[in-house]
Amino acid sequence: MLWVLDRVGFMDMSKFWDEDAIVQRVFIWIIMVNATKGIFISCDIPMAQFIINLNATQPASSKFIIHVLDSTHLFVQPNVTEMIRSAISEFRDLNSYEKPA
Amino acid sequence: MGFHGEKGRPSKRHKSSSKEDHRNAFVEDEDAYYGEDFDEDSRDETKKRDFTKLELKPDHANRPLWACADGRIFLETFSPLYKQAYDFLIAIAEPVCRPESMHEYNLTPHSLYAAVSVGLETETVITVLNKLSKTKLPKEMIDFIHASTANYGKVKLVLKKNRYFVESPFPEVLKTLLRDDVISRARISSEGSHGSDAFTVSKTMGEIEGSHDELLNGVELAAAAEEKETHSFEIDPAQVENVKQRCLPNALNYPMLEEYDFRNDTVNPDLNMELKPQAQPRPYQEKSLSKMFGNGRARSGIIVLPCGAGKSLVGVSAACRIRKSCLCLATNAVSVDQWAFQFKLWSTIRDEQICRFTSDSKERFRGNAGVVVTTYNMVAFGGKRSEESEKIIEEIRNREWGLLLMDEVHVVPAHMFRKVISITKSHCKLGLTATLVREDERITDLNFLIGPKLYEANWLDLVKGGFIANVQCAEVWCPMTKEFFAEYLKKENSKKKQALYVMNPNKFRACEFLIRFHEEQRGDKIIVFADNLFALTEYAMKLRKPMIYGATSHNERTRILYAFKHSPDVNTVFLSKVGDNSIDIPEANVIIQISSHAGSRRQEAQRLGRILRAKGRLQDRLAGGKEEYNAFFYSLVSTDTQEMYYSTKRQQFLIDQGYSFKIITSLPPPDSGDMLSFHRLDEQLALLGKVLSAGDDVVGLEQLEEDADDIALQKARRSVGSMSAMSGASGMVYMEYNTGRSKHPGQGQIKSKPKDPSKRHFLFKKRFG
Repeated sequence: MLWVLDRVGFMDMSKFWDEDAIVQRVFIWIIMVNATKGIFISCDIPMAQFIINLNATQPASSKFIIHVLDSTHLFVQPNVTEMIRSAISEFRDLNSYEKPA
Repeated sequence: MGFHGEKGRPSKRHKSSSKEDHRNAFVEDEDAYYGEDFDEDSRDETKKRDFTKLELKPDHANRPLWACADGRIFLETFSPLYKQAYDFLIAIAEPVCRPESMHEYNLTPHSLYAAVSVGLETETVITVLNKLSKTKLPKEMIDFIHASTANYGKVKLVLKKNRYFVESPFPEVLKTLLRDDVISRARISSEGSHGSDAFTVSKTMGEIEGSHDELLNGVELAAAAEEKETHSFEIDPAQVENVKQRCLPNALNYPMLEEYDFRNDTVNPDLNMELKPQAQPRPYQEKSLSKMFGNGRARSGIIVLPCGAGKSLVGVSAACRIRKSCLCLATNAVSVDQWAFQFKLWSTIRDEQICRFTSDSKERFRGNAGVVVTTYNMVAFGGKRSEESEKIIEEIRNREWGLLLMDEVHVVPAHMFRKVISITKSHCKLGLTATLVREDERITDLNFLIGPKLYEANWLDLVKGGFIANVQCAEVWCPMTKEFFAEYLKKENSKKKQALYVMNPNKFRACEFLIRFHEEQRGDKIIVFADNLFALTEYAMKLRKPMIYGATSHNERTRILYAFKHSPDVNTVFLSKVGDNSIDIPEANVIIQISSHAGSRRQEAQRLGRILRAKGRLQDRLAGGKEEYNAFFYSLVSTDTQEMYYSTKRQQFLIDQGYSFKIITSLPPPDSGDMLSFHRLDEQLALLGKVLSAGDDVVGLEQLEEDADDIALQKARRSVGSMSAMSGASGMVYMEYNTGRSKHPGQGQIKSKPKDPSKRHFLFKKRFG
């Protein structure tokens, strides 16, 4: 299953486990911690920073990033996709101007 | 747009594409335009409009415009009748958006008021509109025109011997006006009047209207020249503006016309000046003047021409036609000098007949008529003046001016206009501007303070005619680097957001790349604009280029600008927002904007205006000439930041004028590597550290306090910047600025700023006590 939201793609990683080195890294790591189910996020540099910042502002109990893999890949809790999605779209709305009718 | 319209277009398309190959592009554009509009309509249910009922005329293909019941009018610019239709529409309707192939206009009570005041009559408006329209005119539109113009032109405001009179051939109209509180209070009853209902009755010549040849089939206007009885009453000069406002369409709806019959004015002495023979007004300048002097009298109003299109020649020509004393108001001392120069350049006025009145030069003209050039501030200034200026102001106050010429009317706050207009008595007011937009939406105020808009040029037509430069506008998207964006997102940095997105290393590299490209490959002259002083200094120091900002002394400015104009080594200059209006640099043809004043559309247009003056040979500029574009306007934007919002907002005015912004995402090219600054991560981090360690007051916007004559704009949005912080005295890393100062005069003077003792470094405190 794969969604693409603007520049941020969310994927269920089980289907991609052998595709490239990064995903394999994730996969191995998952085995080590008894296969935590999670979501693999691939995005550009600023958006990754945005998600990291979003995570940092959450209270400790609801931190959702399991691991920051590199500057464009993150591994997060499976239940936060919608939250991240809406936070990003809100952020982008703030930065875009629409001509009043 | 009706669905009937869809039927009509294929034939149009065929016709135009067979005529010229490149017309194909036009037609595609048009489709895109239509498509977009339909999308918008279907997206928003409330905005959905259905024009299927409009009846298409059999010969619709030959007619250039679509008139919709809601007052909107769409004009096809590829129609053979475009020129005539444009001249007509600009007189009766407000232009909303004017891209290349299709213009949108809107009929409003104000625009119809303007139409009536340039001498068009209700019936003429309707017949001509009907002739040009592809469809039968909707009944709603006809009713609207009738309703809005029924009362127009019935009342006139006349200045006679320093007294204001409200005049009308219809005594019942005057009675209606007097029933209004404001107006009856403003009335001055002359001693000889019998009761409140009596008006002064006089005989005047009826108006002689010239035929408007430019209208279709030469529609003749009323040409009655019989004697008419005119009734009038006098009003208090101080209340003129209030009375005028009460008469506007949104109140009593008897908008007043202000006309000046200067040829028959025997009271005021003539000023002997004429246009020099080499002053050849261009067609659009001629046209704007013909709107002003349409019936042999001078009408008050506003003429809108883009920067660099020759507004001053229009102003000087108007003064030369009226040939009476003229008061010319500009926004600052620099433009006062420029106006005085323009008067001498274009007209035969003698040196002793023109004088400047600023805080530095208080000249007075000899003889009984002349031209005074001054600033709005000098006239409206409320405080105590020197004895000398007091005398001059008194003279200005007591004189009856033939023409009040007002430059840059869009920047002057409404209250200052009120003051200026109440102080000076003038028969005719002409406002000039390039950008009739204001962020405070006070444009409608100008309608009653000065008069209706008489003429507005279409920018793209002037570009096509080679009168102004053909500018390529581009928005360069610079992604934020990882570290800068991380800091940008932190809450504690909310005050530094602007500094962070302006100092984005990717933006810096893009800027450096563009400067190199234009300097080395094309030999262009470049202006870089930055509102943020911190960024301005950082960029200028790093790139070793001269810069000018508010605190730069006059000498320094002159030196830098001279070098920029004449030296082949100085091709780039960094300007803060002092450069928006008051610095004249006709040589420049590239603008790079690295930071800007929030979302000000006016500033964007003014900055573009810096490079609009046409350069090079005319034949190269015309279509098919050597160079497609001869000027470049780059706006550097850090993506994913607030800057994106402001940038889009700022572009709206230019987009409505038909400009399109090209988006560039690949600057600098990926292979540029360490040819440009801030390639290595440690350099970027050092820069980030500098931004973060700077005080919040340093990274804010520049405040212009030194420019006493400049009219302060939108003060509320400016944050206070401290000069001592600029000088490095607040403990910022400053050492590395010192290199190469002798080479670049612009940089040296920053250090010479007096230091605030309290902020002095502790090591030096001892020494200076």
